[in-house]
Amino acid sequence: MKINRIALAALCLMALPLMAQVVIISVKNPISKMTKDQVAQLYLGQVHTFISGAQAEPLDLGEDSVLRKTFYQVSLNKAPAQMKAYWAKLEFSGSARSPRVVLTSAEVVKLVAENPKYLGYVEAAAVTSGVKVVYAVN
Amino acid sequence: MQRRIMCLLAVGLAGTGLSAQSETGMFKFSGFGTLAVTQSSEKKADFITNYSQPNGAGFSRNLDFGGDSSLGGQIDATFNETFSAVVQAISERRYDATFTPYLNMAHLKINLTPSLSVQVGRMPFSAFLISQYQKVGYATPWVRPPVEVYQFNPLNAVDGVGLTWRVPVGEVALTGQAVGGSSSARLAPKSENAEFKGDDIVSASVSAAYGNATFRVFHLQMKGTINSDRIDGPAGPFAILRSPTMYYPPLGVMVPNPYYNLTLADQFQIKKDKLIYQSVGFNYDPGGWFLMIEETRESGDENMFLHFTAGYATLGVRFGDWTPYATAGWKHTTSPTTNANPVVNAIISTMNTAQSSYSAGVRWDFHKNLALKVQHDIVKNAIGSSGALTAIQLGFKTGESYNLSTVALNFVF
Repeated sequence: MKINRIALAALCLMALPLMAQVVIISVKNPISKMTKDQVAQLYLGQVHTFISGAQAEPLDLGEDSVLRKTFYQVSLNKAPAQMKAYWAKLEFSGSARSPRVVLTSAEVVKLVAENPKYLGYVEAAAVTSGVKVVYAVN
Repeated sequence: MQRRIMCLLAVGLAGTGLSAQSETGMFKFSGFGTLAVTQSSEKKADFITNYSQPNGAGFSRNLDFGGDSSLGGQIDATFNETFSAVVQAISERRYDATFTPYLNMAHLKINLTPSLSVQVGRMPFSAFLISQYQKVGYATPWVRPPVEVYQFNPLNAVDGVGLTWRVPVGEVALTGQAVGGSSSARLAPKSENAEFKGDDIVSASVSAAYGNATFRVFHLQMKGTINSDRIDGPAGPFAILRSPTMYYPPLGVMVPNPYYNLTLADQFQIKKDKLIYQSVGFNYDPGGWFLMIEETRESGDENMFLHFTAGYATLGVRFGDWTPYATAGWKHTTSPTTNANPVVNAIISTMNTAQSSYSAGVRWDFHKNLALKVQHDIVKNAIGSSGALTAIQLGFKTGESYNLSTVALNFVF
């Protein structure tokens, strides 16, 4: 357990500067760029639409994913426990449900490419021709 | 009855699940809870977290494991992009001192458009900034919501229809909500068959999120009723006010009642009286620290019962997994009546809940889905007020200070 944690922390430190992380949407989505606040509002469930008015649904990676931790720390300045408490507010008041969890970046890219309602965060290297980058996380 | 409804809903939801098993992630079960122990230095009365509780820490218990503890379970069902449903049950100390679960939410949600939705059924009562999730300790900074604002209202849920509208305006995320319906809550003690009812509830709220700041305004009005075998009964204060004559023991005869006053009886007996809740809340959370401020007001018909202004401010700072915080709370009841009728004065004097408090605590997110909190409160009751205390014993003095110490373990699953 402890070794895992240290290994994970070491991995984070090594991975962070190397792994450029981006927010992607489908090429079928007319939007070309998003601001940090727009991305944050969608991932906080405060807004359920893109600025075009079309339906928007954010995708999350698993709770232990380094990409997920980096995304929330950098874009929203929130640690995993803070996000957990935040979603506990919204879910247990029946207001909104936390984003759908997808296990791998490849799966995020695939879903986003297929459906213009989705947005997701992945490492820049995972980007394919079916998706476009609308915001650079770091 | 509530249990039966819950079972029916659970069975109903399970039934629909069987017929549409292919949908992935259609059902989600989750829950929350708090295991807490509270100690009060005021031994001639009980501190209660919720107005409907009959007893708590202080006189009845030295260490109270029940008052701040609770357990909640929730089933979310998503049928398709348009229809979803949620059922939530909570177990906590109730008016009858048991932990029998009650249904806190059971509604169908219909997304008319991505930004407009309708809720039909039982929804959380949302008068104050965190009312909708006030039972979820893990989601709040404290061991309990500040009592000045959150203790006195016994209503947990509204049965009715709600409309929620979300729209981004530039960089501001606006959310508007309108709810109409009714609500009721049993009050302690059980022997009095007491209840508080809210009929013809109409409420509206607007919240605006901009960057790390959230601002919310709320207005609600309803027809409030208090029914109680004791207060409404033949030996109750209103029977005295309504009786033209009274028995005078020294002479053994009926004499004219000097307190006879039908107008006052109608004015002070709360039967479908107009009641207004208003609140303004502000939350700023840039990540490293947070600030929460709320000011609320209860007003309505001229009965002097439920009229007050109350608020609090909480500041917290995050150091990794540790979040120390401090809170100041205040509650002022509007000036007591100058009415000379002693019966009316006797009723009003028991309703004074004015107090102020200072609290300091720390939250430790020591493990995934678990948080441990320790909090100390110094509470000062206003002169003539018993504040948040109940089960008042002989020798209790109003206007004094007392301390509360609480340790709480919050969890979500």
